Amino acid sequence: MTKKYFFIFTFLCGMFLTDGSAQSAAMQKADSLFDAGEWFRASVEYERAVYYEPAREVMNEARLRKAFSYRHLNRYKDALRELDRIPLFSISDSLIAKVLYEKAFNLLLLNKHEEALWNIRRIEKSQSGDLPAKMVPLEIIILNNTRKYQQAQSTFLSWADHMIRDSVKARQWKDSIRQLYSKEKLPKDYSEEKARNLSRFIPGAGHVYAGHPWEGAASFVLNGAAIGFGIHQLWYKYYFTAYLAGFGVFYKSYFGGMNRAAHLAEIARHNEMEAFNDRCAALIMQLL
Amino acid sequence: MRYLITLLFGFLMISGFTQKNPDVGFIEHLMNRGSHKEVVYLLDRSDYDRLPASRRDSLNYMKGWSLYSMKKLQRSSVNLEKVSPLSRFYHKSHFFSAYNKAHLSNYTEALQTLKDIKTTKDNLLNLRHFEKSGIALLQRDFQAFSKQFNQVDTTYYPIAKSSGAMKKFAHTLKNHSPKSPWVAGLMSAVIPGSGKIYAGKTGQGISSFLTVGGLGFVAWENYRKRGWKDFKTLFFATVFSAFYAGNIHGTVMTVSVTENEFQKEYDKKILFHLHVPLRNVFN
Repeated sequence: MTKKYFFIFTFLCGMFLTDGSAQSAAMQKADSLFDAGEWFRASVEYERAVYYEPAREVMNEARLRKAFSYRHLNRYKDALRELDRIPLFSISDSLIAKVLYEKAFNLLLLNKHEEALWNIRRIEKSQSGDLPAKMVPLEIIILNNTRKYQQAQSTFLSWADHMIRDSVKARQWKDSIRQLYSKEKLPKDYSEEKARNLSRFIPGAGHVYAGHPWEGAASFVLNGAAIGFGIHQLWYKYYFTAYLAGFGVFYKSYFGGMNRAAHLAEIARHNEMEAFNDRCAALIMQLL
Repeated sequence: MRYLITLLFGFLMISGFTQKNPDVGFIEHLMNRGSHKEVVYLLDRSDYDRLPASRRDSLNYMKGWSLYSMKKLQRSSVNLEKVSPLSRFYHKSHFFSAYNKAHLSNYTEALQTLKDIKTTKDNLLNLRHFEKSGIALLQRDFQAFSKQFNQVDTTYYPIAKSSGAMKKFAHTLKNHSPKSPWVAGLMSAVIPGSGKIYAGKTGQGISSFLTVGGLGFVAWENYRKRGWKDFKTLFFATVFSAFYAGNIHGTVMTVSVTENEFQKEYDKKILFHLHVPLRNVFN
């Protein structure tokens, strides 16, 4: 889900990397490997810099960049472990912000949205209440994922204000943002429980709710046929046939249908959020 | 003379740059951090055959141990076996190499590796007997097991617990008689599902009994009320026959699957108890 707007944050990561801090030879080698997309090799070289570098500042910078490499290798948990090696109490405010940003990013990629948001709030605290502008897109995406749309919209609007100097253009962009967050365009929050309960009362209704009307109709017909056959056989005193071929099949398809509806609702919710975030990311990309 | 020195200097520089000497301190640091993939990556790209024996041994041990941690047992074995008797890692490396081979079911090679270990220390000789007895048990060679196990000092604390377990395994395996697939098949033919219960799969047996029995009743009910020629009777009779025959076939297969599961489970238990003393002795 988060892969598509990965590039936005990769771009930001590039901004971090080009910060002009002191660089050792090992760091330079690691950076060149990183730039060449050799992330595993870069991670090894960053660790070498950590091992040899006497200056704590450079050491922590190397750990941070190693975490970047792990993120590129989709090793988000390892990236978080690497970031935890950086002692936040003894580093500069700007590095604290970078570390927490990277933590939030990896947590987002691990679908731990609340924890990601908590790290964003920690950045704000460390920066006397204001999140650096280049970090706001990540906050917007995290807020979307936590379904705090109103907060996401106001954050997006103030970020657009900050990014666009031209007042006419700014108004146009704000309209687009308001449109993106208009009630009818927000992702539907499909509930698995609701889908399950709908299918409990009317077999197939949960499928229809999750956006699969044909499957819902098929489920309804199958359940109806099974129960109908069972009653028919019972009426004509074919008790075993009624019980096994009628009610037995109904029992399986009824409960299976409920589970299927819940699964479809889960997929639908995921797809809705993904589509919404794609639209949001496209807008962010245009503003960057 | 000046040209000769320049030439010599140039040659030394070139040879120095082309030969990739591994950074032992850094590799050790990676190993301590549990970055095994990185250790293997760096050592794969290093040429350390020309290094002094002590350093080469350390690197072979580090590579072998990292590969072992990554569960690449074949390659781990190859590297661990390169560690020479001069190294302090020699015994650990060779015992673990043998263990890797046993894990890969290369029992003869594992026994050979154990046999080749040079030692006069009582605790290691004891450990060797224990490991050999375990491998004999993996081979289901009860005579060889007894021969080796009788030489194990079971009071030696790193081995004590595992030797008790090993003794129990040997007893169970020795007295284990595999179930007959023919008997199981026949039982399921008489009472559907009973063969599976006989094979040790009670839940599956009950489920089969209910399914096949239920379908049998349905077919019988339709036959009794509609007669043979009715479509529904033929349909349910066909379904019942397919399930009945399938259940017999399934029962026969279940016996071999269950037996296989039983043997594998014991292999796993034996390997676990071969591993415990190695950890106790060398860590």
